[in-house]
Amino acid sequence: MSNIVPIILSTLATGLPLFLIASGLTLIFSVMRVLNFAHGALFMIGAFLVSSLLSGRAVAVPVFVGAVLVTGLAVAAMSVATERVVFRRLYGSPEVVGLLASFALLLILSGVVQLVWGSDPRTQAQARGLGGVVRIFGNETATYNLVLIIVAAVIGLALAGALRWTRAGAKVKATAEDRVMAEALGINVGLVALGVFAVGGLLAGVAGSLLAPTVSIDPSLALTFIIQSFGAIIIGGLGSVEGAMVGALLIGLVDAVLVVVAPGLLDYGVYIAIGAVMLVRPYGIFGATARRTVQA
Amino acid sequence: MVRAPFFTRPGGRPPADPGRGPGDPVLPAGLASARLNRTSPWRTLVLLVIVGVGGTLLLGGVNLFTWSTIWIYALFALSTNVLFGWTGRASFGQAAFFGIGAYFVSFSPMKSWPAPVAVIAAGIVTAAAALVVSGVTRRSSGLSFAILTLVVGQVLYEVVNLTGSLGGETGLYGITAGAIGPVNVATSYRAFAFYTIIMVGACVIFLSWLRSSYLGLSMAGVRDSARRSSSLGVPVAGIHAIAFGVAGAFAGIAGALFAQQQTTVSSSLLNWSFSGDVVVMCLVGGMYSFWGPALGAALYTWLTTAGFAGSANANLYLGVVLLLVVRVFPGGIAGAGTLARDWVSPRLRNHWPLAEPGGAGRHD
Repeated sequence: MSNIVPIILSTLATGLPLFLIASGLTLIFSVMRVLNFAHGALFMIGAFLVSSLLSGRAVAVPVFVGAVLVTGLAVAAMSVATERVVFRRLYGSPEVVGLLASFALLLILSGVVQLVWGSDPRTQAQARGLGGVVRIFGNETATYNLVLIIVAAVIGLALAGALRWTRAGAKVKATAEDRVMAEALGINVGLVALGVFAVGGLLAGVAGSLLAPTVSIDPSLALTFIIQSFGAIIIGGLGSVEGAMVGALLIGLVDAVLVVVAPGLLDYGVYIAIGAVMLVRPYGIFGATARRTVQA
Repeated sequence: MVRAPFFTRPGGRPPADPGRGPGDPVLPAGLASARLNRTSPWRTLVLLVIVGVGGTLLLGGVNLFTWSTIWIYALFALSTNVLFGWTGRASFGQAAFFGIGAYFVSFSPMKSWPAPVAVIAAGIVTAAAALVVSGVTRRSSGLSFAILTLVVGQVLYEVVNLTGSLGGETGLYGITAGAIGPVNVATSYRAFAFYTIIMVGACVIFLSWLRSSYLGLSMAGVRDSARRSSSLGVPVAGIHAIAFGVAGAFAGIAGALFAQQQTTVSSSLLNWSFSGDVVVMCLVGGMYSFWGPALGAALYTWLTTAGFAGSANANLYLGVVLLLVVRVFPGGIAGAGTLARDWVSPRLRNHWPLAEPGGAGRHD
């Protein structure tokens, strides 16, 4: 029993922020049919931006929150720009073309980040009052972990709620399911695409700035987190936000268990999770069980 | 149906209009005819001798090191294009085979074998690994194939990273190419450059023969429409496997040469970003032409070594060029000439309509 709580906390603390990135990725895929490598770069830019805004200093919580929001909006704007410039014209091309274009974007954004911020790692200090530890059910954990869990859970619920209960959410789901019919029904598909990229960028930027105090901020962040996010959405099923949540939590769980059981296998965690799920459900947990459209 | 052995080459003239399959990217007519794979091993040999020997004799000093690097990356890119441009399967895990080849020649006893023997052995081992991966990924295509190969490549990367005896991230060093009889190619840049050109040249001649053989044409057919090819009797899964095996084998050979050149190997050789880079080389150079990937490799080598000291600018320019290719020039560098000609010649024909027999609208 005493082992369960730290594992649960560790799962949530790793998985929920990962869900923030993965959910944006899966939403973009569902509408645009492109797996966006550049999403990891947006996450990394979020981390760099917030550390630049705050100069790495420890600030009061409201200032930190403000910086996170500003970063999120800036990254959202960048994400929208990438949609306009690159992805809009690629809809209808084979999906691999989108993948290659997003890889090109990843290279460009990594290069820009290195030019602007250099390749030396930076750090961002915790906001005042959010450092330290707290006791939950008899186990100690970093206060910031708890903050991350709560914030990510709230954002995740808001996203799921918006998709489920708002008209905008219905339009997004309709466009994801059948873009041509959605357009025929009068839904502004271009606006939906823009919105999805904006929300995805916002989530990536917020995730990047929230995680900035916990990681070493350097250009390799994009690569590390994009692989984990890809893993989360492959496990959960491409295009499914609930799947992204399940996938992210599963990766968090596997990492939490491996730390205790087999620390040497920690880097394999993502691939073990992917492999295990692929054996049982090749399209992911919430993925379609068969191809919905037959490609001629 | 043609019942000739796969390894022979068809004779006669190519058909005037190769046609277009469903779901194909729309290509200008000039590029489409390039897809008919008319390469000649003899022309390739002559070209290789002229460029290879000429370049190696004219360059000097550390430029020869870069020169051999270009040839090695060119072989890697050409091998990846067998799977990517020839057969239409975009694999993001080719760097794993490059790395396997590199690590293979870094151990004793392979280290002390004659250099070409070690390299060819590396190719055979890597081909076997490629066939295994091909079996694992045979049911996927397109995006899921790309992701699956990426994951498999990453797993192999982590295996190398986490295995102590393989040196982990720092890797192994002190690898020397074994002597070939009385000659030791590791002694000078020029000697190694000649060795590289001979090894890479032999592989490239094989690839150019393969491309215009029935096997190569079958790959193109499978790329253009797997359904049609299979209804013509082409074994699609077999072609995929052969393409994967060939791509893996030559990637392994390139990796082995790389290890012998650099005298160190590290796990970063297997990372997925290097797999992405080699696909970029193919695309940027022109995936539909034979020499395209070699041109892309040359550009990549220039950007990452001689052109720019750090990697920041290299990534940036590489990304910009790739984006341009994806959006504007699907034929890459190699296709640029064809695109230019297709743009210019109708305008010339409009100017002098009597100069071209057969009337307007005919290409080639």
